[in-house]
Amino acid sequence: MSSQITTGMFQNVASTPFFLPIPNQIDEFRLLNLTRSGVTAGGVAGSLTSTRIVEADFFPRYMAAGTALIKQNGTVSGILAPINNGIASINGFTLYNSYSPAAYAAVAVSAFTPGTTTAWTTGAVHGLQVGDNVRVYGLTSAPQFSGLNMTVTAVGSTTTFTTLLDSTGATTSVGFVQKVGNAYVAASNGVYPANRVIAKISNANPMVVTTLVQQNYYVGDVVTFDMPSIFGVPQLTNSISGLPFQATVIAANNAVGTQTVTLAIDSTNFGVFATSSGAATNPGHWPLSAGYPFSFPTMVPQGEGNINNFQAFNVTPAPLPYANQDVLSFAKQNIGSRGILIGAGDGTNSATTGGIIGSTVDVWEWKAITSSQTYP
Amino acid sequence: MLINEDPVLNSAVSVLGQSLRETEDQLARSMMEGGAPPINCTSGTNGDNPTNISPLDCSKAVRLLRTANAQFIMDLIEGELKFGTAPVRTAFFGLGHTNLSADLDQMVGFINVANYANQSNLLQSEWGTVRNLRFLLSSVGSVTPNASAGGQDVYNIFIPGQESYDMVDLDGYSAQFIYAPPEIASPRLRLYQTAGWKMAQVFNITNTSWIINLRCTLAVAL
Repeated sequence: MSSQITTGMFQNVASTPFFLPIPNQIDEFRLLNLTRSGVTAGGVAGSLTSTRIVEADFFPRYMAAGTALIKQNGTVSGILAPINNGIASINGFTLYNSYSPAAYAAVAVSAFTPGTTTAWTTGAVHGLQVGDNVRVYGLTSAPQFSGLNMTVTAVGSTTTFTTLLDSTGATTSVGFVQKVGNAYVAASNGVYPANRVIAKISNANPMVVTTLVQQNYYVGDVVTFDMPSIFGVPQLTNSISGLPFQATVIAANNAVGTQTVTLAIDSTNFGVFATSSGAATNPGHWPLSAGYPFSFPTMVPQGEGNINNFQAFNVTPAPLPYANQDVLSFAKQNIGSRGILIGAGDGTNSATTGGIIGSTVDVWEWKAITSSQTYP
Repeated sequence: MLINEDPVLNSAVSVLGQSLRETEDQLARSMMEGGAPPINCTSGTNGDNPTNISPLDCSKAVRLLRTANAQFIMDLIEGELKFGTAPVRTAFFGLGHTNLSADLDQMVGFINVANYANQSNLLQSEWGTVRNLRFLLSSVGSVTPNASAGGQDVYNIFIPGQESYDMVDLDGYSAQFIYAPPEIASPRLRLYQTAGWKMAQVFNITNTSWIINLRCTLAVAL
């Protein structure tokens, strides 16, 4: 019997968790930060750096998810740095199965600040990072937001974070927030593309849709809409004509915090988002609590079209002459995978702001070990 | 000496067949979770969002599908002169989790399969009907944990119309049962044999107007 060792190298995106798909059973996982150890590799210049995690290990059989056994540089002196040994208690390693994602503990929400974006305050350290997807629920004074998934677009402190929910006019509330995933790893159902709840819609030509969760849509994708009447944009529904309202994506900004999809539609004369005849009307913002309960407005991936006819929107067909020949990219794809999620924070083992991946672009060497036998 | 040997391979084939079909169910379920347009039940009484399922929510879902010209799956079952039975409307199937069974039983107007006027051609998983929906329940039905406004599990009931989704399989790879006799599985001493299955399939929604994900919570606690 022999153990299986798998190795590799990757380069992280600054302050962004990294998902490494590894279908093997992982008994040990070891990670070295080459860049912050002073090693030039992978096209990134080495830079021995003080107070940075340079080694992180994870033993899933014995360690809690989200933690890591780390070695962190002390203060650099010349070409050497002393090594400190310890535990990263947050944003360490998590084995991830996209079909059975980790269940994260709920944290109490003590209040939120209504506005065009919403700043949430928790009663305890939330441990969230930009890019995390969270769900709020149990908002007793603002039930209209309960059950919404949102991507964290900013972290103000260990007890505050921001999402793109336009809560203007709402009443603040206590409740709960629970991390449900991350914008950079596979969706929990393992299927791409996924439906996205709409945060707001512009009345413009072309129409811009902002989503609560980062969406990963691309130019040429075709979407339809699931638009409850309380949101006041009947032009996007098929509830009268029976014909699906389809729209082609002519620009998409998948960056966390922007999360916009521009569609080849002139919505100038459409209804104003969240305008209705009832007491829940809240033009330009999310409906008020009087409308509770209701369905959420959803952008539904339909397929992919060609982009030959959108020169008026400054979309140049590419590749010429027929454009958009990759017509299956927006078909349903099974992207479910197993692997390990490497957390991000400030690159230290701080109990409140820490995380293995820091704010710099580094190159990492990793080793995953599958043991064929373990004792006792 | 072996006498009355159990037909091990026969029972293994039966179990493997179930494993294969349940795996297909899970793949189709995940595809629909990712792509079927969701609408919340809002006419139930449990105060959550989505609410528990109600007959009106079923009617709304059917209305959406029919307005989009989705075609029913099942023909009607005519009424007959049998005590305790009722006719069944032309219907879409509602594909849900077995935990919904108690809530369905509680619905006004719900007809259990035992009360259909004709029990021929029923599927084992069918639970009953209300309005123009006939419910097929499975333990691998879709549940989104803690996703309601109140933090309860949300049950996704997929309601596909005809031709709303399809299945693509590689030629000759739809489902293969593979038996390896002892001569192949353990050639040295021929101690054991193996049986298994493999397949390569993908499910895909062809028209998002013809399928709905009716989301609900439970009124009858587990």
